[in-house]
Amino acid sequence: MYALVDCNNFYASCERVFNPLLEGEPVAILSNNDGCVISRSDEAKPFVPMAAPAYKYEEEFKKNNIHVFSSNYPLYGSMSNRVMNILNTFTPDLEIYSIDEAFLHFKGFEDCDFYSSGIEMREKVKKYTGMPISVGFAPTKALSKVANKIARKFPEKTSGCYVIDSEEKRIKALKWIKIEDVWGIGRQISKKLIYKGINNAYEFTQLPDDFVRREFSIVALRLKQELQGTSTLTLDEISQKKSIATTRTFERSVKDFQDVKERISTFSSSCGEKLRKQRSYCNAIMVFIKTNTHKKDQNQYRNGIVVSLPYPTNSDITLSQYANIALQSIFQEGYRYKKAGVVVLDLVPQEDFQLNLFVNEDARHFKLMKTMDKLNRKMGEKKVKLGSQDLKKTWKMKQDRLSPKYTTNWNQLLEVL
Amino acid sequence: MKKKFSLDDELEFIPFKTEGNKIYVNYYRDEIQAGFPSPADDFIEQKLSLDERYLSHPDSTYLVRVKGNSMSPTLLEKDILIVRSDVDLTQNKIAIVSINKAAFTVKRIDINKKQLIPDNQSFSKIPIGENDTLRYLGVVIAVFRDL
Repeated sequence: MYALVDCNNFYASCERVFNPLLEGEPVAILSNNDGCVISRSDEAKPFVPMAAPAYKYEEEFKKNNIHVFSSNYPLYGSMSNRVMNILNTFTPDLEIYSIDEAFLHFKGFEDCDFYSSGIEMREKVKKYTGMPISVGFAPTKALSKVANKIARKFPEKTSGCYVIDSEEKRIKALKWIKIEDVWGIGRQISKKLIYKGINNAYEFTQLPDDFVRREFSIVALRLKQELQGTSTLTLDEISQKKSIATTRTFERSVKDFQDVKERISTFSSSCGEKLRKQRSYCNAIMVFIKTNTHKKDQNQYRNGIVVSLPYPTNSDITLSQYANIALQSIFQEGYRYKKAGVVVLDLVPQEDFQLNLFVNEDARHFKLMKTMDKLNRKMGEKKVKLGSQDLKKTWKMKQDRLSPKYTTNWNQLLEVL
Repeated sequence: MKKKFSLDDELEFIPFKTEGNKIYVNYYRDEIQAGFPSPADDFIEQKLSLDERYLSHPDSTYLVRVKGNSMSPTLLEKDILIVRSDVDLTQNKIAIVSINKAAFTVKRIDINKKQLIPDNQSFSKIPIGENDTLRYLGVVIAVFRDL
């Protein structure tokens, strides 16, 4: 069984944990440099669309009493880390997919009461961190995504946890979910499918294998198999609108900083490549490292951090530079690392990303990355790579509406009367 | 004549070393024995770590600073509180709470009489009504203060 755990309106919920005034109020979070809206609480959703440029919506914010915040990545990263650590106590197999999302694999637990453990997960995370989560259980990752959507959509009926554990439930769920809401079905494919009269996931699974493969891709075929209950997908294959993750388990555990650093740099380049492929930029980068949780006799360590980027980027150079800064602050000597990952967050499409007046990507990066991608396509995978680069630069972001860093800064702790 | 203060009587000097972010204090469990060093020598000293003592549950621990003196003399302005959200709220514990979406406050909780008690007697008790919603961040398990 797999579980997909997702934090509800993660950024807005983080702000709420330390600010009771925001309970039940509309909250919106802006991307770095206060550019556009990247997260909204349910209450704010009717008034502000996703990616709304902040300067255009000032009136709307005021009129509807929307509490607007600059993105506080140190706080979000630290809260994410807490949630992930708590989830990790339920199973050693935790696969972080985004800042607020993780797949939990329950191997060899097939007969347990998943619904109760899902409820227990929710209660523990809520009690420890104040974070509301939704949990979806199913035999495959793609199905657990669907189960999670059901849990999120019907909180009263499901209490925030839904389990797909029978053919009947699987079919019912697939018939319920619209094709454009299926994980991994991009806008292009869903348009094509709707045109062909395929409106929900169930109808998609009824298409013949060779047709799906021919018309779409091998990934779409695997997705179809996943929706039918056979596990085939690796997370890397699915492109996401919200974030892109590159996560690997190392063949053997690694102790040296240099070794981990080299891998993190490779992962961030791979994220950069995926970003460029889907023509988007990211605003923040998350790095995490982990020891082998299965080896109970070894010292265990798990940590992750989110670093905000000075400007939206998809350059391997900038990404690996900041990934390295992130790694330096969480790496601890004396542990055997088995797994690490890089997640790029808060993606904005190339067309409408905000130009920053003072700090921007060195224009040469764009050309360089284009040439690099071209060469790599021509000569095969990863012929051209980054050397170790160090472009030290200082910058100051526009963050007029920043909440305190409650969990990471001595000078910004929550103050109580 | 005043009793002369002697280090030997009153205090034992305990050396400490730092390792990463943690500060350890060497602590000798048993008396040092004369004779051959035992193979167990490596295990004689236990490391005392303040992190381990106070931050053993990092995922449910929050640090909070006191503003104002509603809880004096127990808590003073600028004290830093170690707050644990996994610890159950029981009678007379000091906790970080919010009533009806107001800002978080630190108060002693009287569950039986349904009220928040400021330890400073010049402040009045705050009753919790039937329709009030109470949110709590956690229980204060320790306090530290720079002298």
